[in-house]
Amino acid sequence: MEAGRQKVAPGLYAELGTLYLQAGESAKAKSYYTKERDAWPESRGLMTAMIENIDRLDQTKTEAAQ
Amino acid sequence: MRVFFLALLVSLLTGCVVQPTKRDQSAFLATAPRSILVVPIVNKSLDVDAPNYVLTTLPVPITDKGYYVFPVNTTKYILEQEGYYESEKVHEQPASVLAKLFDADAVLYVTIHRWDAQYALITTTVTVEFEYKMVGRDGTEIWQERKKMQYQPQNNNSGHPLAVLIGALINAAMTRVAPNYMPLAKMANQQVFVLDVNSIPDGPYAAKPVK
Repeated sequence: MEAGRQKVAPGLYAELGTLYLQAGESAKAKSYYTKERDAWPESRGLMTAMIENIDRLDQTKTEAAQ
Repeated sequence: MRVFFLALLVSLLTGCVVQPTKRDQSAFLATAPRSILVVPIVNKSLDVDAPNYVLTTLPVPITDKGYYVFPVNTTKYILEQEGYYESEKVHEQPASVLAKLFDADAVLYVTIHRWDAQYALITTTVTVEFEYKMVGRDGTEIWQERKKMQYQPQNNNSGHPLAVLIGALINAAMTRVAPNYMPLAKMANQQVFVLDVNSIPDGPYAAKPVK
């Protein structure tokens, strides 16, 4: 779909992001949440919150590791 | 005399077609939502798997109507993170709270009333019934609908009566064992959101009619 220059359906990027998040791959999750936010302006509030959440989790993780 | 009966017949036939009345949609148009949040579904049927099945059938027709639909599984996941594990609890929340949490314009609550297959020896009837309610972020109800769909497998082979009967028995038993709900659920959603007179108006992303 991306190659075909068609708009990806609402929510698809975000669902994939959540699956990556649940699998523990927060970097990939973040990139898909960013894609969702850029493709659909309506999702901006939620996606920004999700990305900030991931950042905060990563921060606490690195702090705990130190 | 014959003409009279013919006229009577015609009037009876046309009288049978009940035109569903178009409801007032000014509340919906006033809210003019761009994004719709589909919250987890309340299940009043006996099938524990039904809500998740129905949840997967909802985004496509609403997206086709031109609205941004919040990712349903992500929504469910976030609500679980927030402590809402039961959809009944979510439905009790005022729409304004949910809409604010997700930054949505409207919230869609769906309840499953029926999701079953009734077995009557030579035929099985599969029934689904849903109730839809959409509430704007200011808390006003802007749209609602209730839809029931039924399916009965048809046995229209003409052969030996006993063969037909056995065929019907097998068919009914098969439908009973593995009822196929998904086409029914999809059809119900398609009718409610796209085809019916009282379906939701086109959203901001709706395809423009080709001239």
